[in-house]
Amino acid sequence: MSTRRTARILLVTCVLFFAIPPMLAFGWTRLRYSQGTVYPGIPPRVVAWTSGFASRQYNAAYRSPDICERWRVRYYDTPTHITWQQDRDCSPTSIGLTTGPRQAYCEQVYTGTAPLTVYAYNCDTTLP
Amino acid sequence: MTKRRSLLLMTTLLFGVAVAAFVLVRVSHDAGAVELPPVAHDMTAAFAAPVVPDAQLPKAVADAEEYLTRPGRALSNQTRRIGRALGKNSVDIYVFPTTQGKVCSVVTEAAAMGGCVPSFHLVKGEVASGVYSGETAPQTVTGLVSNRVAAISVRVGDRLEPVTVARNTFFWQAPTSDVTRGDIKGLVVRWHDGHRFDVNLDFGDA
Repeated sequence: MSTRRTARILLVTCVLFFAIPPMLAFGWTRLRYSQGTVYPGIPPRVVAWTSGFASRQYNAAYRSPDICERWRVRYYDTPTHITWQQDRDCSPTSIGLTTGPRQAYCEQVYTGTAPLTVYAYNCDTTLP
Repeated sequence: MTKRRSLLLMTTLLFGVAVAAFVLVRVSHDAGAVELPPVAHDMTAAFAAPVVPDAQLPKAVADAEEYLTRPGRALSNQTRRIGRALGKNSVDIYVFPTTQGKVCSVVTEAAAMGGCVPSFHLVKGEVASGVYSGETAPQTVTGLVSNRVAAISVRVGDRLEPVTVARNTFFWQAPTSDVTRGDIKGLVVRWHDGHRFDVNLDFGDA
C-alpha cells in the first residue's frame, strides 16, 4: 500500500468522522411563530398560530425569566378541531411529535395570580 | 514499511486512542458524581429512583431532552422513570435535570407532553401541574410536587377526586371523554405539616 493511498484513506476517514453525525440527525427546522415581551396585567395576552399545517416535532412555549405563569399549547388538524392540548405551569410547556399535518398554537393563560414581572417569550415549533 | 508510513500509522493510532480516551473520560464523568440542581433536591423520592441510561430512553423522551432543555441540555444519564403504565394508554412519566437548573418531565402519550419546573417556590402549594387531553387521551391532570406535598385531590365539577402522590408526581385521568377541560376546576393540596392550598385550574375554558 503506498503512502499516498494511506493518506487518501485517512482523509476519507476524517471526512466521514465529521460528516456522518450531522447527516444522521433528522432535518427538522425550527420555526419561531411568535415572540415578544409580556407585561403582566396589560392586555392583550398572547395568542398565536402558525399560518399553515405541517408535520411537527414539537410545539413549545418558553419564557425567560421563568415565573411559572401558565401557558397553553395546542395542535389543530382543521382550523377548528384541536387534536392535542396542554396547559401547564412553568417553562417550557410543550407537546411532542404529531401524526400528520397540524397547526401549532400557543396562548398565555390569564390566571390573575402571576407576579408583576416582565418577561420575554417564544413560541417555537418545527417544519419538516 | 517505510519510516514515513510507520509515522502515519502511529499518528492514526494515537488519534484513535485519544478519541477513545476522551469518550471514556466524558462517559465516566457523566456517570459519576453529578451535581443535581436545587429543585431536584426538593424531589428526593423521584431522584432516588434508578437511572434509566440515555441509550435506553424511549425516543419521545430522548427527543424531549433535546428540545425542552434549550438553551441548555439534559444532564447525561440522570433520567428517572417516576410513573409507569398510567391511565388509558399506559403512559410512563420520566424526569431529568437540566444544565439550566430545572427539572423537566415527559409523559409518553402519542404526542409526548413535556414541561419543566425551575423552582417549587414559584408555584402555589409547591405543585407544578399540567392539564392535557387529545385524540387518544381524555382530560388528564398531572405534575411534579415537592417533598412537602403529602396529598392531592383534583376538583372535577363539584367532586373531589383523591390522587396518589408517589415519587414526587401525581396522575389523574378522567374515565371518559365526557369530562371537558371546563370541568377541571382545581387541586386541593395538603402538605405533611398540615398546610392546605387550593390551586385554581379553572380559567374560563369551555
